[in-house]
Amino acid sequence: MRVITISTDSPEDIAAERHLHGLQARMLSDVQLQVTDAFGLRNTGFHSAPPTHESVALPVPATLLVDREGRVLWIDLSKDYQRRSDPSVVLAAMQANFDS
Amino acid sequence: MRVGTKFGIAAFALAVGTTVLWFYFVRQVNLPEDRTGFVVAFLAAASLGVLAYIKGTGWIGGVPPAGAILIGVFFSFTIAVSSQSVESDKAIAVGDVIPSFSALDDAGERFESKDLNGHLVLIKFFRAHW
Repeated sequence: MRVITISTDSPEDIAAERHLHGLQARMLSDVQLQVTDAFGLRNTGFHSAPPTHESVALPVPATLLVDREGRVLWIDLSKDYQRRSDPSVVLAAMQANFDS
Repeated sequence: MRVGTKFGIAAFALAVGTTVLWFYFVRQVNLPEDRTGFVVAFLAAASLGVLAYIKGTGWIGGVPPAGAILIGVFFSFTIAVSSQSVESDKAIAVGDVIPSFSALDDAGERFESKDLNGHLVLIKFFRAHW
């Protein structure tokens, strides 16, 4: 199984901060939101990005499970940035979708 | 101690207490969907802070209500603007095939989405480090 993350951080920022969460994931930089827009996940509501942030917008926090043919099996969109995919919800979705 | 100062200290204690509870839930990744109680507590703290100034505070006694107002208004504002939305006709959905994409990783190396072919994948979009 592959795990990738996508954020608007620059590669340098990701490299500097990835130790904070200890993820083994391939962490991708999407400063111009090209990947975010390809998935249609740009937040069109109030994005509350910090003034120093180099990106003009942010993605809506989202978790996707994708099968071997590239088809989306499950998606969780945060309708509210203060609420994220609970890890237990993601794990349950992985068991339901990947173990079959 | 002036009455306003007492009000100010109470306001600050309420603001800080609510903030501590807030971050407790944040650390659990479990902020409730209905945060009305938080809004009420934060706005009550801010209102008590304003009341403290109306009652009159000393110079130093004026500091806690200022903190209560700042904290109360700030958190109420973030709750008010926290909703997120995408253009629903463009957003990827269950059953769609993911678009092909390419991006740099944290080592500056190019990643191509075709490398995911044949693998189960978890993709996580997040709001950056800040």
